[in-house]
Amino acid sequence: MSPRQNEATPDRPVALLRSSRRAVLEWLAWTVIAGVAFLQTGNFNREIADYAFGADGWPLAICTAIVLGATLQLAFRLRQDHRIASGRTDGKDDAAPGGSPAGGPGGSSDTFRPSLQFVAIFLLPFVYLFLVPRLGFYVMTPFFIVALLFLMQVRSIVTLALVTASAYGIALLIFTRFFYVALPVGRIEPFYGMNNAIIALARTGL
Amino acid sequence: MESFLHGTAALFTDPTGLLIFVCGLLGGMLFGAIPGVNMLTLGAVLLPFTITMEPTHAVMLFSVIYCSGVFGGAITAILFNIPGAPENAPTCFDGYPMTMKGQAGKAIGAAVCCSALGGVASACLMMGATGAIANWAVRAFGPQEIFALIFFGLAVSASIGASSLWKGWLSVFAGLLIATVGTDPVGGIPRFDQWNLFGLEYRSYYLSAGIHFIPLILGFFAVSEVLVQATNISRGVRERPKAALEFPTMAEFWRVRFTMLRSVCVGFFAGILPGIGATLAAFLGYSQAQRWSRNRERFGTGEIEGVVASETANNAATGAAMIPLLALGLPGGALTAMIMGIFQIHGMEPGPLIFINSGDLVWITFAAMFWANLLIVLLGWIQTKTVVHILRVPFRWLAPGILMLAIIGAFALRNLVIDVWVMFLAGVIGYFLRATGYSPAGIVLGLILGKIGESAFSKSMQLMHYDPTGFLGRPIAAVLLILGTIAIVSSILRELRGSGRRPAPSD
Repeated sequence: MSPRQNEATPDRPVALLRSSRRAVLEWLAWTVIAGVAFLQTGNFNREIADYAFGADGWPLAICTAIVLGATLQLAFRLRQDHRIASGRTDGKDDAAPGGSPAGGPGGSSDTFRPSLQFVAIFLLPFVYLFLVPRLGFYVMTPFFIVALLFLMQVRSIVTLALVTASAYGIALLIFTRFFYVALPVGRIEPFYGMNNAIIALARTGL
Repeated sequence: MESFLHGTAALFTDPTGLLIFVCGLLGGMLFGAIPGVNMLTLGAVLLPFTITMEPTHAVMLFSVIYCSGVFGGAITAILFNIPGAPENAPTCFDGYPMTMKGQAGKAIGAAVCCSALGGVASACLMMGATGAIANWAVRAFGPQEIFALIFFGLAVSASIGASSLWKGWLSVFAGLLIATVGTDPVGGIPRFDQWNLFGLEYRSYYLSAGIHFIPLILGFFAVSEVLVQATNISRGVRERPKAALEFPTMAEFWRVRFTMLRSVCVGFFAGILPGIGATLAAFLGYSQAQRWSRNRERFGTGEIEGVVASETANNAATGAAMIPLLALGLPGGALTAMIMGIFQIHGMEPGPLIFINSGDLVWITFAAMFWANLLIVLLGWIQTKTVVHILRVPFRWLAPGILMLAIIGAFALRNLVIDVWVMFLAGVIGYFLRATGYSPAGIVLGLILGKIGESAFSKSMQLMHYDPTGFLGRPIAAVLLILGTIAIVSSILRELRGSGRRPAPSD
């Protein structure tokens, strides 16, 4: 056994407990997803002429497969944890018993504490999407870019200005001037007018 | 051979034809590389203009766009984890990790050369045996065989990108479940468009049209990557890939010769079948490469064989897709359906007689596809030497541009903001799926194949009077189903023995 494995040994029961708890939670999540979908199939379980399985046959089969797969996964993981606990395997493959890819997004979720910045990174796109249909793509996008850069710890005013101008300018040039993609222009004045003015500028003045 | 040389001479001696050929090549590559604005968008924009074009020029233009468009999406898949088109999704699995390891040049070089090789091989097979292959494929492949092929494809590809077999399968099942949203393929009954939960009712017209896979692909790959990088940056972890320019060596290509050969066969076979095409070809090529590779455990961590497999297979499907169209008048996908439209616009009918009535058109098209695939090497080499320099720009500066592309790509699909919501939701879900070892690629695979699979299954059941043993009466379907079952059983046994674990692509 390597020194590293020796160091890890005292933490093993805690890790195994976490692994088993996580396995049960994952099983629960999948079962809830399949269960909710299963219940909703009642809304369309109508018969189809010349097709015996109806509209809900295929989704019901998939829901069953999800529950089966999740249960097999749970059984396999609990069996694996039990084997590790009883010392029948060295747990080499179980460095991340929950299957978490080492060094994946954010590293270990056990040690990670979400910061305000982390939450803001996830919320920003949804705030932007909420505002785009109201205030328009062309008005909102520069603010979105600046906010994103700011969250990614860009603090230099020059960089903020240059990157925003480049990303926004290139998007306008390609999609508005050349491809005529109809992006949302908002429905609240004066933003509606401002969006249209930017489109007119991009199509004629750039 | 004489016909091919004649077609080549006609292509290169006609200035208008040559100009159209070059424009199609560059346009396909450009549109293939921009997520959401793919070769189909270019085809749709250009289709009305073909009325005034010579039929030969029009068909040749679309064939060239098809070849170069399938390759174009590999560049963004490798550099930014954004597949330009669904058929480039498996290229992300190893292409992007190679970029993170400072091997972007090698990854793009492999994609360029293998796309060209797959495309040229496919074009040669197409020229040699269009009539025979088309007749065989159409006679031998009914709904039972298509369902069996999809079952086999899912069976061998299910664990791609997941940290365990179960997570791979659960990801695929999730994709299959998402694919059921929208109208059912038999009776056209809307599914999951209205929800009743705890007394609350919800109805969505958006859901009755189904969830499109493009916003999901953009979310799972591009948005989740930006979220991963952004959260890493917020923690002070900054990983910057090196902008390496070197091409793969001949020795590296020689090492993966069997993978190339296998992917050509897989891609060509998948390309012939209507509705299957380059996407399943790429996934099948990748999964078969993983299955037979000595470095199986390195797949998903930046293994050149993964890039080689998916790019060879998806381009090998391009020539094959032309076979049923030209020989039998059966378009297998959206772009070949547009080519069918061109034939109809010009009062022509594809089928066996087209080789006699419009031999020039056929052979100029064949020659154009052959040369377009060869020229991918040159254009790809130029791209490698220029585009890779983008990696010198810090990711923090690139992220807004990547998100802009993704947002506009998702929105432009159907002019719906809700598609962008779906994309961002998929991005957040993709972030957590990657953190827990599930496979966004598996969900995409299930989503893409789910509709075709269900449709083929329902037709099969109707044809066989609901007797599942009817599959065994069709040799190809029986073999595919048995092989798929063996693949599932063997992977379960491997997992139970503890050797089935593999790192997820984001490792």
